Amino acid sequence: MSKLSRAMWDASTPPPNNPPGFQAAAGYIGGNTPHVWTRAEWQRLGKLAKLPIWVRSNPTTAGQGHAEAFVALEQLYAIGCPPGHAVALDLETAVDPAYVTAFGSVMRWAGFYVWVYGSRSSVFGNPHLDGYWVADYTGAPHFPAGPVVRACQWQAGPLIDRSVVKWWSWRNRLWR
Amino acid sequence: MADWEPGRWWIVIAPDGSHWCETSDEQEAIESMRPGDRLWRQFVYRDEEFREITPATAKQQ
Repeated sequence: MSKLSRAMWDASTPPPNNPPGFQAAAGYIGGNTPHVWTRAEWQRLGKLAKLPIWVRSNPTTAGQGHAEAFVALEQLYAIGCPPGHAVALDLETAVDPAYVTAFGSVMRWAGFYVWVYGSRSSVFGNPHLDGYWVADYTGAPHFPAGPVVRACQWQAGPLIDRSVVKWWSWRNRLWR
Repeated sequence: MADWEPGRWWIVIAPDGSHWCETSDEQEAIESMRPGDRLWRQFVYRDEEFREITPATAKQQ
């Protein structure tokens, strides 16, 4: 495991106070998610490194991926996240290379990097685009093997989930 | 005096400029390389200077 990592939390709805001991946070910008974070919720994080997430756990076609990427871009604009940063594409357990490739092509055109998120058992079946964020609930911080693994969600909790992000990606890819 | 010192991080860059691998393990980075990939190592810039302090401050430090 890479020794240099940074702790990141994510939550469907952000807790009222930022959890201590983390150097990054991830939140939702749209897709099939119960709550899309508001601009105020993002702003409450201040200068903390941030990772916006688009969720599509039931992808269907490349056309859907293409269209939804433009919706994601609108939302990134709305929350003030500029190009040059990473956005996570949350597929849960879905495997759909056509959707992922289409979503990624639009986001790359717009200048964003896309990290493909999903369960360890399925995520590697999708194209890696700019890297994988792997859900692997071992209960301890770690990174699954693989050169394009950028982050690992190692614990799912009732309020927040916990991940580790590799240092270079944390420093160079996350929005602040 | 200032100097560059080798750091503890390596990245592998693909021929198209995309970021392929990052790791604190040099061997892992090398093993991940594909034809045409380039290996980069972090270097850290260190600098120093003298600053005037008061004796009271010196005791605290």
